[in-house]
Amino acid sequence: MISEILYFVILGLMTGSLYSLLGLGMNVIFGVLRLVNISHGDMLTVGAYVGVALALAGLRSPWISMAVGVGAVAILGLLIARILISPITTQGRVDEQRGMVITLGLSLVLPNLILEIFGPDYQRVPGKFMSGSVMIGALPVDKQRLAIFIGSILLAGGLMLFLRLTRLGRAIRAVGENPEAAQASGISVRRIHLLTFTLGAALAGAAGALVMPVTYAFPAMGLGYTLYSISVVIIGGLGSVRGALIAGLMLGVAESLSVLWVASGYNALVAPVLMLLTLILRPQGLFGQKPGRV
Amino acid sequence: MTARGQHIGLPRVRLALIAISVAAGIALPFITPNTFLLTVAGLALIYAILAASWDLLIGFAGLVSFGHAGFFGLGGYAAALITYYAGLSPWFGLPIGALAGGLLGVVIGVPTLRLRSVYLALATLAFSESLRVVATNWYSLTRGSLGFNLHRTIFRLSGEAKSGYYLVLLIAIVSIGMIYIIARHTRLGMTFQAIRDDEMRARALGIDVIFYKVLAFSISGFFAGLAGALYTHYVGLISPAELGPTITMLVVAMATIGGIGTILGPAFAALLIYFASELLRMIGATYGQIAIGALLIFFVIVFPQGIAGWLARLRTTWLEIAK
Repeated sequence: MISEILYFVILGLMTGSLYSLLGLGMNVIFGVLRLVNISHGDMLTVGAYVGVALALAGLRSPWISMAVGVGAVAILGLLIARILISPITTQGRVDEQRGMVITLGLSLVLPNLILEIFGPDYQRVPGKFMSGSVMIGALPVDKQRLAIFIGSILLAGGLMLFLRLTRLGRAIRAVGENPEAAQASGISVRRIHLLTFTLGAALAGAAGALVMPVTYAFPAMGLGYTLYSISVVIIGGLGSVRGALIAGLMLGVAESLSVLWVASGYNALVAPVLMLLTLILRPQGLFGQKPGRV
Repeated sequence: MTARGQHIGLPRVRLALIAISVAAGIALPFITPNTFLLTVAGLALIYAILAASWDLLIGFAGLVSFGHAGFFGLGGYAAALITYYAGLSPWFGLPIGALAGGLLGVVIGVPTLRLRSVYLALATLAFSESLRVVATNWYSLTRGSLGFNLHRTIFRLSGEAKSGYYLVLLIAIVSIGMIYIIARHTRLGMTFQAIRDDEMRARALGIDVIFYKVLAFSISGFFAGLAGALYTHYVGLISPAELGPTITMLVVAMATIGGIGTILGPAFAALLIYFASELLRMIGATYGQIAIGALLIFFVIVFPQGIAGWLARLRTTWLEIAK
């Protein structure tokens, strides 16, 4: 039993690291632009399908395809921020409801465009970064999943250092805390918004590129991931990078362990129920400072 | 999107528009006896109820629901499952579905209404997602993702596309009319708007804000549940997809394009958009949703007040020119 639990915890950490990565991107956008990006999961889908397209075109190197995927999603993010989000920003603040509805519109457009181009079939990229498994104690762990875990943790750590230590990172945090004061001290809020949205999208794109070798891609896959990223942001707390990291891992482990006690399909309840409980009992999330109440 | 409930046009013009639409609705089966078109028209009417009920929440009480599919699907499941397992006449399905939606409004409203707008929207989304997971997995009760179709339906009993369509038309006209009157011509609607415009002041005036917010949720849920029950009987099948986010997205899109805060704007937009997207589906399966999404983005950026707001602005311009 103990080793079984341990096994599910490790599996959960692997999945959870992906939720963390998605939640981080969502949280950076949420924390700075105050925008709930309903199309966040679709950024992951786009990243995954760039990989599919490159594989279909005959590219074999997973590293190049990953880099191209992240770059493509970053450009898409920049375009969305510039063309769709800028017009609804007044005095450094994005209109919350309109922003949410616009990204909801995107989430109708993007998956259907992908469906139109690639068809409804499940797609898989041939070839993996690495095959086989490593032993952690007595437990075999798929190397590819370990790569997702390590990749996610590295990206999350890198983001944390970037936001803490660099001038640009501090500017991003300043805009998140108080756009007027940031503008007054010479930071271009407009540019920071563009940059932050691009960064958040690129993180989702990276998640898409990372997840592709272990899962199938299909056009509507994004919506589920959007819901996970929203849960991570709510549970971890608005604007908290550490919160998103921990909440993502927690969610993954909780979901994975729940299989031991409830029928497997019901593990999809873990994310929405934990999110609801957080909203009701502790609206600021585990590590957030700003209360979500009126 | 703090669109005030502005008037679409002169009351006379609006009355004429409503009369023409109702007449067209009644005449449709005589113009085209095509069963497919009648079915599409019936579904469009069901979406119109749903869009109007969503608008009552956001446009008048200022409450954002991103989980409207939850009310719709729960109403549908309640109508099908309760009449089936209790062996009731299918006619009971409609009030049962509506009450289930209203009850869910209370259940969602009570714990979440202290939350700020965006958080509230996400909480409602989490509620409807939870319902969808349960409906998908509780196979012995709901037959899972295949959907439930064992219940007796009102329309299969009457056996004809035309009578089914007329019942939907009647219920849609009555429901949308009631939502419109509640929102714009009752004290209750005024109270909702007072809370939307300035919650602190409303509280200072002695309005029990929480009570009225829960009431708004349950009235909206009641009509959304009714729409769901109607859907279940009209299509003869209810599946977890009806609890899914896509339904919510379509409703949000229809109401926003129609013009939030006008009730009739969302209802008419739902009719037009549903029809248009079904026609587009004949060309290609994806075009309908791509068009709706693109139109939604366009309207939110360029005309956040929707078609109704745009018409109102057009009218003021004309009046000024006429002077």
